[in-house]
Amino acid sequence: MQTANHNDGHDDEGLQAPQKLVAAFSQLPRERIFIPRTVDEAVLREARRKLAKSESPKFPWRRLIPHFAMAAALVALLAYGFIRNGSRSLAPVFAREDLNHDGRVDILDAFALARQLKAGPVSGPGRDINGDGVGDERDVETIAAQAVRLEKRGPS
Amino acid sequence: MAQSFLVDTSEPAKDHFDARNDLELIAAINNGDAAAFEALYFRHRDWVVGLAHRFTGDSDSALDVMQETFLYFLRKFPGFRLTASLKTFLYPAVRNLSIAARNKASRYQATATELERIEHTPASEAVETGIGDLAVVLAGLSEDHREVLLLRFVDGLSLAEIAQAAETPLGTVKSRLHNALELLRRDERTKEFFER
Repeated sequence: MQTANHNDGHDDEGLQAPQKLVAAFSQLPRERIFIPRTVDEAVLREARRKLAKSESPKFPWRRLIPHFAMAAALVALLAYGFIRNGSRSLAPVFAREDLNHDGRVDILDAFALARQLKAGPVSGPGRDINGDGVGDERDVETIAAQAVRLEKRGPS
Repeated sequence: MAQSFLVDTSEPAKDHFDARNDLELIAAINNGDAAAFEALYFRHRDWVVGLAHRFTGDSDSALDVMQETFLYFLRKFPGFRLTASLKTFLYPAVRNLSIAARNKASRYQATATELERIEHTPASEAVETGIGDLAVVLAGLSEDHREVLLLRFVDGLSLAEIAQAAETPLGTVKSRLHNALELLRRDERTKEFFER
């Protein structure tokens, strides 16, 4: 029973009760209630059962989160590398002489280089077919000779 | 007929003393400490029984409500976070369970034995007339007025705690308390408490 200082300083005026009244509240008639031990035990038994269950160790899934994250990042990195390299290996590779990239070295490739030369000087390793450092009519002849040789051989 | 608003229970809380405060006990219960729950139970049991008895007016119902209240509280663990006083948290549970118990009990008519028992409650045998008069006047107040007086001057809750517990705006609590005190001040039977 609390009788001390029910009129705290923070109470508004008009909400204060005289000490005589506060004391009277503490002396109000009391009902005697017998609480059987079984009533207490029923609650406490349930508490022991429930809290024992909640105390049992659980698998620390949360501690594995950083490891899962690292593994996922590694898989993503490998997948990226595979896709990038794989895409290169899947790209079609054309013969150096196959200037029009139709998958065959034939007279059309010689014509293609001849047209480029007619338009102006050409440069770059893709045009220096004979390896003399210059892209000129001799490279056209090299392609033409290659094409003829391939045609002579015929399909194998 | 005056009602008794306070209770005396068996096995006082002092036999289950624990130095930890409520917050520390709750932290321990969250970690599965059943002994901490037992300490908290005995610390607040009598208050819950008294409150339930105020609402139900019946000892048996008060015990049922007390049990249900603590089982409801137990279901909050683990993970319970106390943001106010424990009384503030338990009050609405006790009130609602008491109302349910009272509604259930009202289906049954009071027997002659029960009426006789009520007539001879300790309240009607109050030694001091003043105290008996206070009990009579309190019994005649509305539940809202009576409850705010008892929460304030018997249970020791602050106005803010009463507002939170009763889920009522603070202004309404202040208004009720002011009006309740005014009723006591004007009543012939209790005005003496306000006289110097």
